[in-house]
Amino acid sequence: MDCKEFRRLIWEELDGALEGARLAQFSEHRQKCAACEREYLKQRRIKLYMQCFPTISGVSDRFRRELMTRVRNGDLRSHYRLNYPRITATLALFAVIFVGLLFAVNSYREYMVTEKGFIARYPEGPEAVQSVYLPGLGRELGVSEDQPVYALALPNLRAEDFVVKLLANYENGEVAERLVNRLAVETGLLDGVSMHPSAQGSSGRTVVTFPRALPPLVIAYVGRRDLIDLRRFTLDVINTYGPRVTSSGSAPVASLDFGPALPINDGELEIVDVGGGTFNENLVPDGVVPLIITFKGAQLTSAPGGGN
Amino acid sequence: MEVTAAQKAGSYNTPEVDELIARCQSGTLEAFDELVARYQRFVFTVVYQHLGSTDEIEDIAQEVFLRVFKFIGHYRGQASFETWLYKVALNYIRTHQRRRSLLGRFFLELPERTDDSGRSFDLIARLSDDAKDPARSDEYRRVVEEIMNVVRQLPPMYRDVLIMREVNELSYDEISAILGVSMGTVKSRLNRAREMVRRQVTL
Repeated sequence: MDCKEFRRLIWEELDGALEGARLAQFSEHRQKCAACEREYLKQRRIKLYMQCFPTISGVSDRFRRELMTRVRNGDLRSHYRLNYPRITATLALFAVIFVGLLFAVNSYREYMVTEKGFIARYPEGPEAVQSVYLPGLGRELGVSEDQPVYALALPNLRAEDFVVKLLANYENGEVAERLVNRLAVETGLLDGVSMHPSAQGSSGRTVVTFPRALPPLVIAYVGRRDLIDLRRFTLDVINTYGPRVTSSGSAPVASLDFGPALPINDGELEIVDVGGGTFNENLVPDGVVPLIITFKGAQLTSAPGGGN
Repeated sequence: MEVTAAQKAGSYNTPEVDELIARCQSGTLEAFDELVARYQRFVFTVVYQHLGSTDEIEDIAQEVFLRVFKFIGHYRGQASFETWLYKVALNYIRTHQRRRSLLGRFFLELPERTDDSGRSFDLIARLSDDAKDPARSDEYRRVVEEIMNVVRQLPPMYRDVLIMREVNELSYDEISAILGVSMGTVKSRLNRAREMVRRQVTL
């Protein structure tokens, strides 16, 4: 038996679990190796001293009397009581912190968009808004009469603001690249648009330059997933701009308001408002569906032969 | 595993204890009083050794016995009554320590002692045979104190198993039943605890 094995077996021996040939080998090693003998004696002394830890004796009758009084009185509940004022104060503190965090996140998002984290530059004046004429919306959309048309009307939001918000959310990772492609790239809203850091040295700001006014109405072709993402994004747009009064004095709410000149309401097609309560993602057909997005300044004109 | 006479007879307890427990389970207060008288020293000792101080022993022991009174109907004789009582005491000690932690002190109103007329128990040192010589007793007390301090500094999972085995001399089976862990876990925790004590104690 070597020293390593001996030391491994010391506690087994002290527990009385070592017997027979192993015990004989153990004893033999003890006699031969002085270092191991010292280690054995140390551990044996520890064991003996632990068995001599102080103990309790002579518990008086007073303890039993008090206990039995409680039992007879039915006072079995622990004497610990919850400190309700402190618990309430703590919950209130956490609620304040939570609301503060929400406020901070929301403020950051507003900063990114409305406080010029993203700065939009676009032509101002009457030229900014072009009238839109749709010579034949049904033909242009190429939809069959049993397929719903999806619409998103943002009558108080400029297309440029929509694009800036879309890019800001894409930068934050809240909007997928696919949706940006569908809504901005494929519709031409991003044609010629450039982004670069602010020249004024303000860190973190991005200038988005629009070379021309964007059309107030675009038609995109989107899939089910895009519509669901767009709905979430639209609610975010409303959340961002909703409480704020725009320069025109009204909030950019999403609504399905194409007015009496709606060109495609021929009694067969159904228009589903993406931002409203009529939207049901389970009813979105497979494949690509047309989506009309209108912004501030959109002037829908009746298509020849369309409308009612 | 060694089978005791009580186990062969179908019980881990003596017939007298079984009868006492049965009377307690039927709600006889006198039987419970008798049970307390019989086991109060045991509970006080367990509480003292695991808690490491005498300050709140009586309050804790009282709460332990109240739990015994409430839950004695759950005792089915699958282990000795002392094992079950040890488990109840240890669980309450853990609860108590949690309540005495910083967070517990903040959210709980701690009970106030209604009777401060002194201790209702005595603390005695058990002298080993080689320390009964007065000339050696001071040195003996110093070493015991040192080892106690080391044991009290151990993490609870190691301290509990070490006290059960080395101080209260419970079997591995009993420790396993009280802690609700496997025998292998008990042994490995015990080895680790012994090693930690060995390293820190200077003898």
